[in-house]
Amino acid sequence: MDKNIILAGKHLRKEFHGNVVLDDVTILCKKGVVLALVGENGAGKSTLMNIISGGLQPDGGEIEFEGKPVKFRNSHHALQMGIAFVHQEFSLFDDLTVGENIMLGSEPRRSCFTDSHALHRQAQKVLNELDYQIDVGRMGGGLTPAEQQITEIAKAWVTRPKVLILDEPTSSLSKVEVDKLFRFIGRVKESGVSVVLITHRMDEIFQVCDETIVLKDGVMTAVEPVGNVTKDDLISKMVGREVSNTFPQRCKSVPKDAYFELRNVSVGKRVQNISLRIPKGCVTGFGGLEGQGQRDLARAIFGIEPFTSGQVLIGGEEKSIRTPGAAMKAGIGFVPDDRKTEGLVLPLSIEENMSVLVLDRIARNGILSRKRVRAEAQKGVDRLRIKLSSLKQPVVDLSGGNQQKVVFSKWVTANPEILILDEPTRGVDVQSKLEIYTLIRELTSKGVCILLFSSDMLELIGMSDVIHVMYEGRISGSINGCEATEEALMSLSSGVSPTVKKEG
Amino acid sequence: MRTNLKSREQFSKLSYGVYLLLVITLIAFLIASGSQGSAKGVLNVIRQAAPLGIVAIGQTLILLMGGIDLSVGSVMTLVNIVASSIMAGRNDNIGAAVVVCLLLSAMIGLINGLIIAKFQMPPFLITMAMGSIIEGIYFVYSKGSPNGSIASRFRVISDGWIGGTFPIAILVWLAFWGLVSFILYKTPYGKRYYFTGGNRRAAYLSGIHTFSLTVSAYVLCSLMAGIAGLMISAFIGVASMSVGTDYTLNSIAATVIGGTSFNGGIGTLEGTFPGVLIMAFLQSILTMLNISQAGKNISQGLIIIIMVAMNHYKQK
Repeated sequence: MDKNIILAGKHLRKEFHGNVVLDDVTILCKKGVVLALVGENGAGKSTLMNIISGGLQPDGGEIEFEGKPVKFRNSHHALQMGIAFVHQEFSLFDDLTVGENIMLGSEPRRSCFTDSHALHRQAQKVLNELDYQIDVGRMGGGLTPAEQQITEIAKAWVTRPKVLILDEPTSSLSKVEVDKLFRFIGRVKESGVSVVLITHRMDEIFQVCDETIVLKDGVMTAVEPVGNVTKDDLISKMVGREVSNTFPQRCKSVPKDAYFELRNVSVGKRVQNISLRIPKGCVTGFGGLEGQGQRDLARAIFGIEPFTSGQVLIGGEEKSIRTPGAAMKAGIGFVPDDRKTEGLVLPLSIEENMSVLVLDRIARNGILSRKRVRAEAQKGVDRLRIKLSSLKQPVVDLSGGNQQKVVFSKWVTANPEILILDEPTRGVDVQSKLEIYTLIRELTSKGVCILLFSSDMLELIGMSDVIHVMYEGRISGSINGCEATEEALMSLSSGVSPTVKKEG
Repeated sequence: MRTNLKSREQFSKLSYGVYLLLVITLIAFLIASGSQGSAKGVLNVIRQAAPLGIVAIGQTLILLMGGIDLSVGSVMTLVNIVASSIMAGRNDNIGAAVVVCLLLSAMIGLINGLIIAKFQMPPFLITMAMGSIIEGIYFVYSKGSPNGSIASRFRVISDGWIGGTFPIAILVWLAFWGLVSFILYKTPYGKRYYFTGGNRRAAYLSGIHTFSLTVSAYVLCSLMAGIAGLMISAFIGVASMSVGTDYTLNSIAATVIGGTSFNGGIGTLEGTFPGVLIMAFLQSILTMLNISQAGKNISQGLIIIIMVAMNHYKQK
């Protein structure tokens, strides 16, 4: 047994509802070693980290801590053993100070009261170790994303972990801050702590990491010391699935004149100066890593959180779209990524959900007839072969795939000219996916302009006529759908290749 | 076959349990009234339930839309005091009194709705505060001892019987019930109550103007309370400082007994109707049996808990 191994996860396996998300993955966290964990969205990185930090129980395999097998009851248990996981989503309390947030759970006490002075002094000390200045008296709610990230790391570090797991810690940090963080990681490593760094940025791996593990679809494709690999090696190991023929044939001719145009649009700092000319009747894909501004762009086009500057033109006419209602009037539809909270009214029936957008059209002289509502809903159901026992069934009872079909179909019912799809097939079974893809093609052949936002690279490549890749709020490159490869997309997504290919 | 039956009941929005309970209370009522039991007795109870029936229509709309209105009782009392003082017992003043009262009610609803929709405030607190403010206003307006009385011709809407056999008050109630049901089920506007109450965010993202819908719902509810206030005024004929007090919680009770969800999006007016009747018959039965106010409160509370539990189980 290697004395240097602090934490080992061996032959780990995890399933969610019959989907294998991790299969026979072995991870070794060694003393004084920074391990990079890389892989596409959905490759199983977070699942793996959750398992070795007690957040999830594995369905197979075992975990050893300092050579002895352990079973973590929960993440708190793992934290007590010395495994700290800094999640990608922040979990700070808005109404506690930075100091209180950092010291949460390990507050110094004077008899039975919290010693506020000592608490803030200790928090300050931890921040000093990180070489980062935040006033410990400030409220958590007023922090910038970068400050939140640092506070989260401080909160993990204060427990003096033996294994420190960081999930994309650099995504909200500036260059200077990243350098500080890496120097901190260097010092931590010297002191014998094992660090696991999840990252999408290739440069960072070579800057700070010693070893890499590559995951692809829940399977380990490589474990290498960093010295032995190149960026291209890593990318090719992360991707490389076959583009199967699940995707219906793309249309032959793509019209050239723009129907929908964005001129220098921005949403705060999250979307910066994007200009696009999008023709009718084709699928325009938007890709990139999570949180690079795609979601904000999609939402701004639909008027949910409108653009802060720039112009939107539809059919050559400038439109001001500040609410979803206005977007719908302009002929825009939006299939949101979260069907349960944004797409459907769960307690209501399929019939009602299907007809919500077209009530005014169905009504005659302002009066609705059951028959016409039902006929419209039936058309929507037939369009995507939604499996149901009755149109009056509440949508909450449907499976995820069928729910997604209802959301999709309801928007098709509204006959939009421009249809935004945000992760239209997330959590949807293969058969339903295929049906949704076929419907997308049908729509484009009728001249509908589809904007496809997806984190599934194969979907983007299989469906899009043009793919725009976003990185830090900008379009880092555009690739023609027929020529796109996962490698090319991954490079643009990771900000590796600055060369912008002009769509041809 | 069995699954078919089960699923049909499951998909129906109306809770049949409430009708079952209504039949039971009705039978109990007839038994309790013994030899005096008659159709007229039953109609008389329903007649007296008309104000509650009308205010509960408004409350149902609000709950469906995902809100609550705790100011309806105060609106009813305000209308009672204002109507009495304007009418001062004279038939010539009926028109003016009705117009002023309805405008006042609508205005209160508008203020409720605007504050709740504009500032995303919890409706519970805003309408409760509004109720308190209205109470203060009518105390000042009436200087603590309201005067005036309701014009005799106006009292017909609550006291009158058509040909001595059917109460006008029930007709008024049914008319409003029919009208609002039509709006709720047969117009796009009404359907949007369900979407907004069921998932406000999804409704907004489906292009529904949730803001104006919210405001209009509070205006409608307050108008219903105003009409109920006029009905109750016609009943008692005089101004009273506390006539509306019980109606706030009773309207909510009748609505939830009728199967409307407290979280919005689920419920019907056909459920609220028997909900109101159940409460009315229960009150009369207990009065006839000489049961104290304490006993009335306890049994009413039990009925609410049982019905809410049944509806909750059904919606699961």
